[in-house]
Amino acid sequence: MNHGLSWHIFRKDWRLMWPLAVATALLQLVITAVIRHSEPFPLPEAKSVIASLLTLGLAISMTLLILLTIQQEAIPSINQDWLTRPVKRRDLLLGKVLTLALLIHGPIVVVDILHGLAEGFALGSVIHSTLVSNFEIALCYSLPVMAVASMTRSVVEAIIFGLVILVVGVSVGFVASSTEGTGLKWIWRSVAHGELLLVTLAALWWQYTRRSRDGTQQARALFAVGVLAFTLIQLLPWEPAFFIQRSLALDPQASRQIDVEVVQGASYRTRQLLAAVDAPDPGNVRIVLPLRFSAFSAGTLLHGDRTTVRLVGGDGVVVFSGLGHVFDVPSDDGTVGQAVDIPADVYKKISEQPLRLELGYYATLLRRQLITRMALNETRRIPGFGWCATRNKIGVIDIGCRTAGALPFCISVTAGTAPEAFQCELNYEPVPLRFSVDPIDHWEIKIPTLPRAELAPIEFAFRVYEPVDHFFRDVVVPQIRLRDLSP
Amino acid sequence: MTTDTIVRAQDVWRQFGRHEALRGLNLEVPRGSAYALIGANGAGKTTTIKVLMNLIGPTRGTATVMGADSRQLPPEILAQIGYVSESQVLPGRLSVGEYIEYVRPFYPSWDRELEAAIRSRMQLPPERKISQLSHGMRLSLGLTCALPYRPKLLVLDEPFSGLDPLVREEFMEGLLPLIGDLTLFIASQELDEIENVATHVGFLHAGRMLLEEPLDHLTDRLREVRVTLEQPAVVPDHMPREWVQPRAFGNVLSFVDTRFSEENLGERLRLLLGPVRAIDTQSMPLNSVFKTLARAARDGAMP
Repeated sequence: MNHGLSWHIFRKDWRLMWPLAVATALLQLVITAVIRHSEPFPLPEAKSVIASLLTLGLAISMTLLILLTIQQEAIPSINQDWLTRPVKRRDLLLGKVLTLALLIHGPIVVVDILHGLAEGFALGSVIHSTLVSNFEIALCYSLPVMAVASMTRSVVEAIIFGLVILVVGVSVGFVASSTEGTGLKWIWRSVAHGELLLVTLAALWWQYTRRSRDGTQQARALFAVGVLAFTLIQLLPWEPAFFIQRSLALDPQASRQIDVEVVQGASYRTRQLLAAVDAPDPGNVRIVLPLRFSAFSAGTLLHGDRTTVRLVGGDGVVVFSGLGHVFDVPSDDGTVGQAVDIPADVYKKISEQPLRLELGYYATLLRRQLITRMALNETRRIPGFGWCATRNKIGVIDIGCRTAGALPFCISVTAGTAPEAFQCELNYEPVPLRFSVDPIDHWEIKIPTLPRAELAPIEFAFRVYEPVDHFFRDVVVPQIRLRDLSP
Repeated sequence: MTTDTIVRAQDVWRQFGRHEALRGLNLEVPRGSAYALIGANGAGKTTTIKVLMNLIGPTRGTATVMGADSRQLPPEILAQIGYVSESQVLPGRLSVGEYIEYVRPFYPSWDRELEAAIRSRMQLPPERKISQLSHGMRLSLGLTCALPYRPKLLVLDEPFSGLDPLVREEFMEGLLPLIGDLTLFIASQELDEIENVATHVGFLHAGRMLLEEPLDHLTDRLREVRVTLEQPAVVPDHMPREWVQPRAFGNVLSFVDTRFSEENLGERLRLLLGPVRAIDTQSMPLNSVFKTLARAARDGAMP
């Protein structure tokens, strides 16, 4: 490989592409100027709309830049001059990678670092979060677009190919992922991203090491299958994902003593603190199973990630099999009402029968940690956490935090003696793997304002929840009657 | 392949959908020759060249160029091949000067003095964008960039369409001799231009090589014959197969003899045609050779 020729190819691309590259970089600067926060609260709506439109323009500009750069030397072409020149394919690939790194990712890195510094974050954390976010952008965007560009001869052809791939992916994507909406969603997503990276690199390698029309067809087929697999991977079952999650637990002994039982005759309230739960479907009847979790320590929260429910009739026939709703159990009393929705017609048939109940609980133990306490209308930089502020607006209290990198996925705020308010996006991904295309993470919550007299001395306690262990328990109740569990 | 063969194709087939552009093509280009690939439109000349240059792959069969499989021409081989085609797409947003600067480092043997000599003859405006060049000027630029590294093999696909006669002449007579040890492989309809340099001819028809031999052999054996008879001429019902395009006018019968030999010519004609008053034979220019072969191939009368 001749690095000099790679640099030579890059210089030629720069000569051709600099107007678009400069326009793309300027667009990034403008976006950064628009979204730069002077305080850690959400942007005004008008600014958000402008930023969204500009970001769309940036995506188009970046896509064009990648496509045009790669297609300067279109691999599937049969007429381009370079094909009969002694250009080593690896030099060419390296030259193109150099072009994309310097013309696309270079400006992003510079602008993101300036953005992070302008918001007052430390240089080290800004550089780290910027590099991590660029890695994510390269993985999920630049490299796949580059692969598509290498398999097509023109922008139009690339857009058509890209749209076909997108339609196939989106169509399959309508099938719900087994881990969607849970803290485990990162597992299959990460596997899918890894698969996409491999397929993208394979397609690029294929194109840049062997050049023929047949080769391009093979690369396209490989890439299409890869994108399909990317979507299908997310449909992989829950159990292996949970097994992987368990193996990554921070404190695998933490849940060892935890036990669960159905307390017949009790009436416990349902609680969903971390995840929103849909209202019951009108065609369903909701039953509530009173559960008691014992032996989990103070300062923790138990989150029921998934509950499998089987109801077996006296003749041994399974009359219902489904999932219960997620739930949360604070450590203060350990009780919760587990909601299960049963189709009304099924319920009608079996509500009076004695049934055997089989439950499987996949749960996560989260440890609570107090981060800080703040007064109203205070802004503070909290070391190791972020830049947070509170303010009183008409009817609500705005609370927000920003940080270079990733904030914990679950943060709560307790205002005085009011109930703890959660704002969580469940994600049990180990911290080093938490990539985001946005190098600055943000978190906001609005809570109802309080009477003026209570506001002045009030303190806002910021707490974070991080998973420490994951466990499975099964419970069998030999005989229940559904009617006794209906509200 | 013998060491004297620089390009060889063996039973090369190339299909585009249902259309067979090449149907068992065989060819051999001797090293140091100037090989003219001729044929009617659609005969498969451009497809042949694209296969040889690995711009498209053969459906089956093999081709070798400078000893390497045409499907895997390494940069070391490409560095010794010049290629110019009328369908070649150059980077339109580069200027002439930028393009030459871009191409130069890929060739270790690039001779800047030769480049200067070629540029001065081609008279290309260095600041002008390639997209703003005429078709002929783009071809001139292609030719300009195909010579300074002194290629061992120069492959030209219709390089003269749109070029003015002066540039054609400059190129063929002024520039090519500067290259030195060169094999020229050229497909062109401009037969008058290549006749003076061609040493070998391959005649391609419907994807097959119907004829391939040194040009001097070909012009020796193809002669236009005019026979003036004692009586009014009639095209005989049973003519030798090697006589093509017979025409009778008055007492004169003319035809092209594709296996011409002077030996016993008068006696042979007299036996077939009767008393002969005069015989006139003329060698044919490449243009006429092509037309004769093309007609014969079209009519299924290829000798």
